[in-house]
Amino acid sequence: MTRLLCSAAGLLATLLLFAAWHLGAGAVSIALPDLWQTLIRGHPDYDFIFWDYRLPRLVIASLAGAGLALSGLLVQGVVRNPLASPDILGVTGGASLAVVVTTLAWTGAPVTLVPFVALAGGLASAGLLLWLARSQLHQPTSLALIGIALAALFAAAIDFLLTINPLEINSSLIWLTGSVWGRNWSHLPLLLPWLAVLLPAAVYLAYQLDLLSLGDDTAISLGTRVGRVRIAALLTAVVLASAAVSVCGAISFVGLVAPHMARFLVGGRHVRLIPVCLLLGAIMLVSADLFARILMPPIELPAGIVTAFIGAPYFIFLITRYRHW
Amino acid sequence: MTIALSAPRWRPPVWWPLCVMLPGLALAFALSLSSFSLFGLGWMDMWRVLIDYDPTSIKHQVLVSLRLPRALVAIFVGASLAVAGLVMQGMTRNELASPSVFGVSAGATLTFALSATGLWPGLSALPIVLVTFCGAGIAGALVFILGGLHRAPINPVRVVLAGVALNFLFLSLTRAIVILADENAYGVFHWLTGSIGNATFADVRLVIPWTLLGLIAAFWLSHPLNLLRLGEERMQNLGGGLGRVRWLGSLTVILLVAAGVSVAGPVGFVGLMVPHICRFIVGQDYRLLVPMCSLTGAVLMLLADTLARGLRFPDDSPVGILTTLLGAGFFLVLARRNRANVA
Repeated sequence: MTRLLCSAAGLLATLLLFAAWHLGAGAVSIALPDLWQTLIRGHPDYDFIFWDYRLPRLVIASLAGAGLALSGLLVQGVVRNPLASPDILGVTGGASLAVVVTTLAWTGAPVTLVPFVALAGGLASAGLLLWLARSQLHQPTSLALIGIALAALFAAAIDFLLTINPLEINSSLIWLTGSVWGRNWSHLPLLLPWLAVLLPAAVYLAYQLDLLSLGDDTAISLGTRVGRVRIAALLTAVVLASAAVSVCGAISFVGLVAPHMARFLVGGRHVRLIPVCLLLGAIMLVSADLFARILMPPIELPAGIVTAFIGAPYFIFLITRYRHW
Repeated sequence: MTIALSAPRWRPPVWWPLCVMLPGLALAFALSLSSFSLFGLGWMDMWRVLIDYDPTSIKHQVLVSLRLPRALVAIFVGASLAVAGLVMQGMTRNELASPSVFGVSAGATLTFALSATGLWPGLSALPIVLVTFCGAGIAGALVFILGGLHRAPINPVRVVLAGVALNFLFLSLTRAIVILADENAYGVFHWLTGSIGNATFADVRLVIPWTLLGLIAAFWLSHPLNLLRLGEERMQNLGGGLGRVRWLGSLTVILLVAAGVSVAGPVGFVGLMVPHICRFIVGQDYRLLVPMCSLTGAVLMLLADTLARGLRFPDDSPVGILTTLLGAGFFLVLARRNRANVA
């Protein structure tokens, strides 16, 4: 328990540190005392930048990161596969593809529709994956392989559509790599309700997932409805990932790496993993967005590129460590 | 009692597919030269260019100075990438191996982008094939080590996963470089998908010697690759030098990928699809597979480029989006079929 509290406190401090840096750094840099003043009483020079530009971006980045990390945790818990995550299994790719198709086919589509479209795409691709891999579900590596192939197919289709029908640069950037650029308060309602509903659901499922990790037979004899838990957890994971995708595009590797780091910090029990995982996901995306902005000002990279810098080497490290070939 | 001896039925020689592919190549070449043009080019125009070239005619100029180098580049790039994929599959005995799946193309593209955007001035001074050669070499070596190819039992999926992650890393780096240099996200597509829309005779001259060298090396390797198909130990029992084949094979792959990427960018999945198609037609003998793959790769590339030109006519689209779309579907089918290899 002390370990959980210590890690959570440390991570919270790290998140606050990055948040302050994120709010302060940029084309107009705001010093820490000014930042504090803007937050408490308002500041004539910085009010607009702080409240309308940087704060929404920070909030969106941390919520999306937390959602992706939680989604990855649930997926890994269900398929008991350390290499699984919504992006590797093609769920985020399917959600992005659905959004791109909709925006191209229906130019005046209302923005409130986007999360539902992403959700439909994510669910469809998850269903497709499970159907394609139905005879190999017990083999972690072949599930990952089919997921990767599916993700490659979705990525190719997105590239194809964007080349045939050039969108504005902002949206192509978001659907290509994932980015928090230009996100504002109007995007918050697309993300927050899903998290608010699904976080309690995830906590409720956590105990069942712990039982599931003992193996199907043990879980059944302890009174778990294995099939129902699996479906509920997978659905929760897909919805979380799709909500994040509908706002930020397909940000890669957060859902894969955050659960592993969390397990390293607090062990394998899901009830403990959830808060740590949320914090880690938020830290990853906030810091990625921060570095994407300050690396080469005034040019901004998409945050998805920076998460790939961190995530891809970690994934390779996982592959070389994974013993059950 | 008489034994009825049926006369042996005539069978076509084993090299008949090559005889079919050669006219196919000529046909695809002519199709690529003449179709989808604003000037209404036809077969007659090509004939007239051959018998009576008129430098003042705009049609003749378009054919000779725009279409001809483009079609030639398509042929050589297609052949390079297809044979590179074939040699990779033979060496690793992994049917998912190919330059684009393992990140070798992406490595070459990364150094190409570094050199072409001028972010690293020292690199821009070097010849482009050398630069892409280094990139492909580094990526290949990384896959080799991370995928555990240097250890005895090779797990096919592990190599693929390592390659995919590397591919992702190189792609992200290339994206970052292009965005830093261009500040234009749309330009990224043309860098990441591979296009031969602006090919010139300088590109043709650049790619021909390296491709030919690589193809000759691949042909020379076909006998050792046939032996390797029996397994590493058998091959050594039969007197084949495993280490030498691996070294030469890797060099050949890197050379071919570097030649292709230098003129066309990372045209995806040609090296994955073509060897499988050819194996289906001519069987497993690498002495036949190498020429067959170079012909089929060239035909596929010509047809894909022609189609890409027609997609958004009169605007041009990069050929890579078509091959990637096709190839990703192909990859999915192979990944599902792969169950037998995963032990």
